[in-house]
Amino acid sequence: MSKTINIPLGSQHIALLEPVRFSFECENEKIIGVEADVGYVHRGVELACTTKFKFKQVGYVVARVCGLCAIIHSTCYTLAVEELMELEVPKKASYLRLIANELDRVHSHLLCLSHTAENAGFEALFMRTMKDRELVMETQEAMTGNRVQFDYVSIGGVNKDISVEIEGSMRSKLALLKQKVAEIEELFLNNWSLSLKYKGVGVITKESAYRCSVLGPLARASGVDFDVRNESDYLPYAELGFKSIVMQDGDIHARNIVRLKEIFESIRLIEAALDGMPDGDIASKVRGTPEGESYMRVEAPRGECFYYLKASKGQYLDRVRIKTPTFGSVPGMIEALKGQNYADVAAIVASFDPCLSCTAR
Amino acid sequence: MKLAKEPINIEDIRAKITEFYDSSIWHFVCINGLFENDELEIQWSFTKIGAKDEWKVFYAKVPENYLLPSLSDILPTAKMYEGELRDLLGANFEGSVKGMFIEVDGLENPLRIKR
Repeated sequence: MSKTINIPLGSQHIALLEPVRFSFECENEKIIGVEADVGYVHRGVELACTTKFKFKQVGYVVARVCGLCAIIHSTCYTLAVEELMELEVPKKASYLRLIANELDRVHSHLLCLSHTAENAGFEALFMRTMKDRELVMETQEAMTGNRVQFDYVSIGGVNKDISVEIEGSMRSKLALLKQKVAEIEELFLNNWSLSLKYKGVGVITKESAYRCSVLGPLARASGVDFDVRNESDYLPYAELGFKSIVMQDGDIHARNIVRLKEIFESIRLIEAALDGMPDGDIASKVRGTPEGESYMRVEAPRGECFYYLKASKGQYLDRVRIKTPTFGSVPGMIEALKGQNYADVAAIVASFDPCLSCTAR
Repeated sequence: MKLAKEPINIEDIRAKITEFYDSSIWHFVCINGLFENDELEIQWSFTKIGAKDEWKVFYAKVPENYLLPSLSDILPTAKMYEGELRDLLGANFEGSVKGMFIEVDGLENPLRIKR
């Protein structure tokens, strides 16, 4: 006769980067039920954005929603305000925003890959990936002035142009990063112990991904070709020939490979943006105040990030609604954990790349 | 951007979404909520997959303590947004209880701001 036991994981756990609590109902080693609690780091950002800060300051506040995708949040908010104010943004600013967004994606994907390697017990690969990630962190610092909280995107454009020296340094660092990521990809593709740990584990089926509105690399690894960079013209991705990466297996291995291939695509986009960088201003003059409703979304490293704004010509916004990709993917994650061995939980959760500070806001 | 906002009677929302939602055609973005003039406005937002920025938003206005139907059996992700709006806006969705973001004895409906 099988025995059912309940095992909690988190909110603080060695395998988790941020606080989340799972409660597993297990039959021997097999997980038969999962519950997730995500709200441990709620900071009231949406409330602060409508009561404490004026609309011109909110872009810098929402950048604090998340340390990993700060630029994504400020880009999404800024685009929404610009839509309400019918502001024309210089083409050069859009190119610079695209570069900053893609650099953010590269460093976030590398962090996730290093963490999944660590959870598979591959400490050397974890350290190597984190070391190579420094190349993109240094590039971000040179471009925006900071490693984490960039404050680079502003209403009307961006805050800083890139000099010839920074462009040269960016190109050489990205060329080196491409070589390094190719070596990491070789390990993820062919290392026997990683394959044993990842292939066929934590599967999200295509049907399940559609049904649960799973987002980002999680969806694309399950055969769902959904990427906001294709679905919206918020930045000049179509001009630069963006191609989404899709795999079919839906397991941890597929999620890792989608992220690795997306790093190459991001680097290609950055190089194409540098090659075709238009001349002109980096910001337009901002006059007036926003009015109306705006629905805006951008592709964050973990999937669709959505902002809803409502304004009525005042300095303070009436409503700021933030929907983050991890929050929307939680039901899909629960589906993926059901039926798995409890011993694989740490690796599966790491492969989701959950961002809880985004989620709880 | 192509945005179609459709007002809907709250009693009809389950039937409407059941009829409308095909997950291979429409992507469910989220449930959004606003509090204005002592009324709650709840929005269910979708985008058409493969179409550039084509939005469909259903919205219903209800009194502040109205018992709202849950769509979590039709849209599994809805459970998350309903829990969030329960905590932050006091939107009383069927089956959702306080505690996702705010402690049970914490603030009540912080996003219900009267201007």
